[in-house]
Amino acid sequence: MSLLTDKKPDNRSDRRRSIIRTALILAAVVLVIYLSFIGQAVLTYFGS
Amino acid sequence: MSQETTAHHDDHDHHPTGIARWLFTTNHKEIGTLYLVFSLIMFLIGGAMALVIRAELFAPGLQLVNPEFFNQMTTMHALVMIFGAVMPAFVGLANWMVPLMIGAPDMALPRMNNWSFWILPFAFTLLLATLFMPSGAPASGWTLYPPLSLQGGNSLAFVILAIHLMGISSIMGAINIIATILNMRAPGMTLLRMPLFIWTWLITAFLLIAVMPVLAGAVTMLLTDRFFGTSFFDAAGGGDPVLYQHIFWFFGHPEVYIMILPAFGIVSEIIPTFSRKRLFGYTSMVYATASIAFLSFIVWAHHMFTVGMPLGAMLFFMYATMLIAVPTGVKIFNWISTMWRGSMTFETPMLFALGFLVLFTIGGFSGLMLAIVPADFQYHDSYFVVAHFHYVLVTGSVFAIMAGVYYWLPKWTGYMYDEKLGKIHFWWSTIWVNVLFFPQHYLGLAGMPRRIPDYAVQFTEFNMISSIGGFMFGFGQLLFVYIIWKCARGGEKATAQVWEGARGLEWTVPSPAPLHTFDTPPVVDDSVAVHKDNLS
Repeated sequence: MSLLTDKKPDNRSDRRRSIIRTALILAAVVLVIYLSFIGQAVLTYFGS
Repeated sequence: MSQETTAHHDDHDHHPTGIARWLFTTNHKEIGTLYLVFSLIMFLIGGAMALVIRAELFAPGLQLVNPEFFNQMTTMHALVMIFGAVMPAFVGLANWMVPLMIGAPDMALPRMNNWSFWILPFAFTLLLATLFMPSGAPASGWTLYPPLSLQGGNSLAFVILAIHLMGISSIMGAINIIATILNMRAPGMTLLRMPLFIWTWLITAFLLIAVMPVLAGAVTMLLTDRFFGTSFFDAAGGGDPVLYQHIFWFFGHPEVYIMILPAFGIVSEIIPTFSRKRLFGYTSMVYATASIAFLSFIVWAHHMFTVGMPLGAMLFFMYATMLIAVPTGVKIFNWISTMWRGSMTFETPMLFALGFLVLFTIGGFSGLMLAIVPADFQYHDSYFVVAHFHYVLVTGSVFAIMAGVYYWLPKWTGYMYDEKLGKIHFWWSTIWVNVLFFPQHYLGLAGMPRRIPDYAVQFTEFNMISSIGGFMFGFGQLLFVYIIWKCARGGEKATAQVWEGARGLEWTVPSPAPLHTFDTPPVVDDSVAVHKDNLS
């Protein structure tokens, strides 16, 4: 799976792995963005 | 020609019936239908709130509702329409059409798809329940700006939880769409053969991933300020209310594009079909969409020019905002060029697409006016802004959703809708939506502020005209509901291709589309692809 190379998995098990990898990467991005706000909020709260 | 896959396997035939069918479904078509029905219900609820607003504003003075309830209506109308009507409608269309258009058997993560939808009724029950709380619903506008939002009742906690739930739903939907498009395309469906609706949704899904957690962060900090003694946005405690505005609009402006990019995709499907030509400038359309998405991240402060910011910052945000007109202009040019010398016909989906083209452009131009800093100082928080974003979101997003519904309804139901009623619906909506929103430009230029239940008498006539337009437009949408209901019940049988000029995988399966399609992946070549790789 790649936006740059236009490649995608062509058998079932590779596709399943690739789907899970895609979902996990995106979920991690979401968490990093959210926690960068909330982590700062928590630190500020306990630091003050 | 791609292979049409209609076979029903025996192992799929023991499908639950009744309420269980809808509660536990993992089928993209059924979940798409759930989203669309939910969206329609929210559209009617949000519309009813709009009518309360327009009824109160029909004449100067306080007639029907008290100012506090009026403010609750403006806040709830926006939240319901944005998060309950427009966004779920696009997700519903994506659920129905993305697998069909790329030749996939379903979405990549079907169980998560079910969860994404069923979070929404709980979120909106929480949100709407605040109307019945002693402190009433939130009344500080959909932006929930502090300090005003922090001075309301405890219903703010319900609203923030509801926004978190909506955000979780949107994020899961976005992950599903990206995973589906990147991994589940049929053999031969290269990225640059994908229909524009798929491209615009792929880019929209990345926008959702990037900005929904920002909104979640902003409202969580609002929650801690209100209930846990922090002072992020409280000047008395050393915080800064303007910080909230920066964070909110870093989400808020891309959110505008989340609500318009899929609309561009729908229009890019419809105009070639009814012009009987391939889309002009396909590759430039893809790059223009990506450019708009990128620019949407660097223009947020144009919503808050009046808070007082350095001159350099104002100039940057002004010019960056104006730059968006370039890729948007590319799109308008390409749609017009697609129609040029085409064998055009004007069925209802095409009428709505053309209505979108003209009226969205009006909203775009008033957006350019608002981008000019000194002019914005005059227009800010006036009815001019209300007119602007309703041209973008009603005659833009909502018209495109209606165009898409008419376009794909025969594929969903297997029947043609009533074309005569569809055309009446279009002309009724187009005339009255302009009566509703165009006078609001004049009201704003004359100085009428937004979010007020009463106004000076010199604004009476234009407000009366606007309210009449609002009621006529609003009640006209009952015709839309009737047309869909009538089409779902029967009528003239639709063919697989439905429209003479239609091109793409979704038109190779029978109408109505069977519950399971493309169990065996089709092979995509230039004859079925909406775009040939060697053309642009």
